Amino acid sequence: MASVITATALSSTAADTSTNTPATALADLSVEQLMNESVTSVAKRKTKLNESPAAVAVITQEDIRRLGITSIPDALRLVPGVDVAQINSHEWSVSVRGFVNEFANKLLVLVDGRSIYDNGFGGVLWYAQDLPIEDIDRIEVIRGPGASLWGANAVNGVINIITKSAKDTQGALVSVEGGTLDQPSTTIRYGGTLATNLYYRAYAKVLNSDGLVTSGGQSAPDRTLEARAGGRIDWDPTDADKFTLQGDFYRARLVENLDDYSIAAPYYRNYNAVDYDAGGNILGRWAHDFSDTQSISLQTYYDRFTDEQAEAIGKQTTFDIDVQHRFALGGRNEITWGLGYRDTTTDYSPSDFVSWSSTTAHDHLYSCFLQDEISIIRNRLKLTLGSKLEHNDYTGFEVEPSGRLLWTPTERQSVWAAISRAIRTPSWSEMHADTTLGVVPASQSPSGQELVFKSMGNPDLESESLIAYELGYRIEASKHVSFDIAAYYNQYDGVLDYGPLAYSPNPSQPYSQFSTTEENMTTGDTFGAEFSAHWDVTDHWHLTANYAWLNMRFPSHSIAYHSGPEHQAQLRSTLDLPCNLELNGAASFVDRVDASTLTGEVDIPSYVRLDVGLVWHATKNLELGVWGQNLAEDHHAEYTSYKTALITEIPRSVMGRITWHF
Amino acid sequence: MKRSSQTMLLRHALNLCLVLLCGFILLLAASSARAQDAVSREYQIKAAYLYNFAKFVDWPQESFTDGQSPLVIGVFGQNPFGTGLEAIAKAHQINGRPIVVKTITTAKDIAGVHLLFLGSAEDDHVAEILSALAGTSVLTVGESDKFMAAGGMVNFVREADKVRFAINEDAVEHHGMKISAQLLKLATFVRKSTLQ
Repeated sequence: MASVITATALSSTAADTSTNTPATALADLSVEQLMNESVTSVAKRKTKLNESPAAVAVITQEDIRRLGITSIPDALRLVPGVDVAQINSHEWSVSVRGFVNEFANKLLVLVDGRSIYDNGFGGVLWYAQDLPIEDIDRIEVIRGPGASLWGANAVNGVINIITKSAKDTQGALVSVEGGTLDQPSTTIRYGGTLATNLYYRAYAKVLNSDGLVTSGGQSAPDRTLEARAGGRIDWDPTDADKFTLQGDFYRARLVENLDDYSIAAPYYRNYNAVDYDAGGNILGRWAHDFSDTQSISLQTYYDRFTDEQAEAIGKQTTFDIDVQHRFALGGRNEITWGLGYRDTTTDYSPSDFVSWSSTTAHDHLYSCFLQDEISIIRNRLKLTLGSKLEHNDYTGFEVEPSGRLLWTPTERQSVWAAISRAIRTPSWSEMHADTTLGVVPASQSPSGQELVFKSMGNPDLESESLIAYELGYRIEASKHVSFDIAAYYNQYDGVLDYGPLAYSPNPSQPYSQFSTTEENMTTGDTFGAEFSAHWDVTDHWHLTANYAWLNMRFPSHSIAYHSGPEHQAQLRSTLDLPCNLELNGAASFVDRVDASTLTGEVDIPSYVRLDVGLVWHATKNLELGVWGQNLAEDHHAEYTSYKTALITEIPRSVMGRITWHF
Repeated sequence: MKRSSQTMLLRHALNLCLVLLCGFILLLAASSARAQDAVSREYQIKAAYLYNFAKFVDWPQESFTDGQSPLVIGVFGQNPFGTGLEAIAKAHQINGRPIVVKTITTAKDIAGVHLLFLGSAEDDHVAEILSALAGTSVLTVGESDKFMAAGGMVNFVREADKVRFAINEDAVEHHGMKISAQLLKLATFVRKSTLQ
């Protein structure tokens, strides 16, 4: 349902039927463009970015291919206001508008309409989303709340990863990439036609990374080996119907460094743990257009995965069903509404330093939403009002309304403003995980007993909430130059923070315990702006400049470690050269951030990333590319892990890729 | 937090049924709306093409009474465009001329029309209609092999899921019109005699 939900209000694929009938919209296209319009494609013409009342950016397959991007988090670096900080070869903090964290939890991410938010630890397991990068059609990034449509956890942003239809991946593809960081990683894909309008593809991919480096430039232990396979079937029996069935499964072997504290001798160990993770999903979707102004979609999926974090194993099984209906009401209203149900089963097992106050759960989430897109002045002023209403087993009913106003004074510029509320529900580990943060051996303890420092889960946590005020302006200054600016003021309430450390001399236990509990105790705000400029210098040379500014005002010290860079900037260039060559590059600046590990505060200095690549289309079917990545510095750190004091850094590297279509 | 798990399970099962039921009611309600199923995407694209074609054709001066007189698009017989073509006409002009859409039922209504669309539904008498246009400056647009064979000028052709077009440049020029080179370049096929 990704593209359908996406189509409702916020993103670039939003349908626009109330203000323009499709025929008149088509009339604005040139003959060349008309020649490429598909008669079977849904009548939802892609709305120009100009018409979205939200801070939306789209990363295309072309951007990914040209810049030699190998993972989804690296692709997200292209969007201003998204902070991507790599922790090791398989972990990233991806956050929007602040709150950097290994488990950055205020962001909702979907792959083809399937939520990949992990309720167990909060956040996204990025290693588990290592799709063949060639299969990605586009990534839509909405900065700011999307909760009125997507519900809980779509607090600071929504990322929609949309893969290609099987129709667009016909034939065979072999892609091999490798370099100074990675052993060759290989993707094999084959797509064919089973019957008229019935297409399929199947793929297999192996990722093999040697890992990054330590701050001394030595090889770090974070090896990643991952194998995955999957497929997709698309059937378009009529112009108005689309059926999709898709699935993936993966197995991963990840090595991570751990600081392990336990109550018994030797109290502390640092070692490299090997995690075995696995997962899989299957999704079916039916979308039907009754007419240009009315459509429905039904989507269901089943997803399960096992994730090991610091040797504590979490298993999550999800069944989800959603239905969504869009129709025009009168000449001015476009109504979208939907219902959803999600059933999640979770099961956790403890490790040396994580124990659980409750290990299993069976949760039910019911949701519905209603949205009205009201055309106040045709083609000029549009108001979108909507809200999600959902019920979960922990915090009960949650309401997430939003109001968005879009003013399009001319076809080339638009101004938008929005007020929205969003919430984040507490994760299972925040509610139930008791984690040992440190142990003082009895021999060094004043009480003669071991001293144990713990953070305790809190089953009474409530949701964190946000009221966001946003304002944006876009202008196509000329045929070749466009600008986009978005500003925000976010007020957070009930943000989780650690309460005071309580001492409990425990006569019944052989040790004394200091513990802290997370509570909804902090209030604060953030404000900032993102700016993006695009310049088509010639038909063959394109430049993009991005800048993001972020300011966080929280009284809490612990949240300061998760604030994110104050300034981020990027300049990108893609240039077509003669002889079927392309020269592409990106330079990025990321400001310093405060971070912490188990052993203390860490200052992550600002850094510059410089990537340059040369791509040669040797024949119509064969593409060769070589990229120098992170050329500016020998190695740099981007963020820390809460599991270890070892900081893994990203070194300068060279990567090559051969892609063969036949 | 601890509740009787059996009653909970029952409640959740009931809730799920309710959600599914709502979904089905919704589906039924929506299917009844299917009756008003609008114009297919193909004809929306074709309507947009008609407007575009008109921009690329020069009619002889005597085709218009003056500089402001409207450009008339005729649709012969059944109108497959729904209101799409009218909507385009209302929203656009061509070289400062308003666009008028006219439904044509007999050959004698054709007077004053600049661009005439002949749907494949008219295939049986396409030759008849085209021959009635001898000596006039009407750009004929059709969508069948029969139309092209009978001397039609611009013909829509389907290439996989795309709508493309062929141009019979000889016929266009024979009727005193000029079609722009830009449009000719985009046509999938151009009939043009080399003998001049």
